[in-house]
Amino acid sequence: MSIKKTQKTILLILGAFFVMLTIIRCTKEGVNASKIARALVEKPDSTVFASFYDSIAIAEADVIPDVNDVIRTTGVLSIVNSNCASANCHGGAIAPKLTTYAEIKTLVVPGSPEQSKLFDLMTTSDVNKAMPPINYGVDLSITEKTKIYNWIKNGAKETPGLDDFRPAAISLLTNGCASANCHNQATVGGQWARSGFMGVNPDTVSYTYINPGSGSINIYAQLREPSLTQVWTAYKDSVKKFFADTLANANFRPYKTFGTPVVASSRRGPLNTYDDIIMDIIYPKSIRSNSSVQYTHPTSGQKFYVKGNPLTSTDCFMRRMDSTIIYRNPITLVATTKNGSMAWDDGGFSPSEVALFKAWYFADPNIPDVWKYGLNNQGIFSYRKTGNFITK
Amino acid sequence: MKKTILITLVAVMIMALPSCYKNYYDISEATLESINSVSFRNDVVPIMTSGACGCHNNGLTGQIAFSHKDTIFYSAILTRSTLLNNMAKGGPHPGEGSIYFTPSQASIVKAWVAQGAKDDYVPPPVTGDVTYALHIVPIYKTDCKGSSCHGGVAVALDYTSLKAKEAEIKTMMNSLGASGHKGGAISIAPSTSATFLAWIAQGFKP
Repeated sequence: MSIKKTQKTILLILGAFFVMLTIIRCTKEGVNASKIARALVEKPDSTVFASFYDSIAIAEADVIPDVNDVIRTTGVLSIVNSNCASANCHGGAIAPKLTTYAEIKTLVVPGSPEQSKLFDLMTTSDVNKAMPPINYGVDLSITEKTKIYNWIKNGAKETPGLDDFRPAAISLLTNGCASANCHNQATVGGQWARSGFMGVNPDTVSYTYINPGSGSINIYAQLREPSLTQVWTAYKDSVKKFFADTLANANFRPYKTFGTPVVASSRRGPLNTYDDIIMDIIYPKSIRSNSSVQYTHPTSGQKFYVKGNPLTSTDCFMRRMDSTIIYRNPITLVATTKNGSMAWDDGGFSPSEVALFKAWYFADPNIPDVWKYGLNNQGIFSYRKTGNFITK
Repeated sequence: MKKTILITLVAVMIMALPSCYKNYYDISEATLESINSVSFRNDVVPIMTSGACGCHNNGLTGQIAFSHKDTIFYSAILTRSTLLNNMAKGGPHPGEGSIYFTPSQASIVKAWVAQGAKDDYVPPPVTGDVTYALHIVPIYKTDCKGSSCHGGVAVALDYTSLKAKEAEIKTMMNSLGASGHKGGAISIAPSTSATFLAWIAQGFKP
């Protein structure tokens, strides 16, 4: 082998060695750096409401702060501002600038968080790519990452719409109100269940709750056998049929079928599903459940425990959710007192959540206009503070 | 010519090495913990104050309170962290009925408990006047006056009786409730402790 050839071989080996060294060293991470875990472990909860701007729906002038101290819903802009857009970083000289909707949108592929640079940089565990830079020791919270994921997933809009409000509102209701002993299908404290009234049917178990504050006593019951929840489905069908079809066809709970009615302390209706909620809105408890005869059929003489007109209700869903409004009966136009008890009393919903319910309620086409604005847009909800009616 | 190219190539490779070396840096244990930790205030509190946990807030239903308006009762949540962890794994709710955590909520609760159920809130230092009416009464009402505590089985406390129990309160607050409380050990938030100690140090202002 000639000297020249040997030199060439050595140089080639040396070259290959350096190339390998370069590649290996470039991809190697330190012990701690390799343990960085910034990705969302669980598939993001798509029911978390995520808007671009903070706060939602209720005009400042109409807000009465008696349900909580503050109204605060953190939006994407605030999250980006506090984590990325300080004066020394992307709020100042460092590109890209991330202080407005248009600027932030440049890092986003609407509908696809996975393809969006904004989401990628805040969830990657690559120590060289991650934003905010790893050596700052700060990371976005799981809640913040989830909000950004859902905002992008729902189209990265500047103003939220029904797609954003509905899943979030329904999730709060079904996960919140339907939990524990309250509005679920196994709880038959309500008079909706023909065979579920307390102390009579062996399929139910009852228990007593004494409020330690007020001393008031409530008796509740739950179905022993979960499959009996079909009773509720059958009841819903009968209520819908009763009002939508004809009184004569109502063959279930709406009219009295027992000699001595067993009065339950609570007539709470299940809110386990979207259908349950819509049913509760369209046929409020006030018209479908009562302990005294509300209506006698003019020809058959059957006595009904429901009102003949589904609109002549003294209470409704939104009245119980929002203490900032006054509700009036769509037929008699008699105003009720303010309520909101399910928001600030039992449920503990914050004003931003109440605002979310409201935004969904008035945007959802499955809720008829008459339960939003009354007959002929006369208005059934007015703001306590200003007296303004909500109209179409 | 060939020689020059080869020398240049090798030189470039050698020069390229230090730039790669930059990638070989590691991060400290503290930074790693900070990056990977679940935030109690940002991640856990939103779950505890709404939805399935809604009844445990604002103190109007007689349930154990997790918060009252904007005040978060970390100690009340902490003492139930094992229970919450079990519920996140599908376990039952202590009362009747079921509680539904979404998969995302369950993973947050489990990770928070696994990391020691810590509170990442740093209370601001107590400054200015601390008075009985403005600072102590609100804490007493929310933290002490439960139905099975000083609002029920235990004696009600007021300005005079609290003042008379200076030594006990000091022990309680300095130990964050581990000792000094006649009814057994309780968990006291650092902010509560700081407020009581400042009130005592300032001479029990009414």
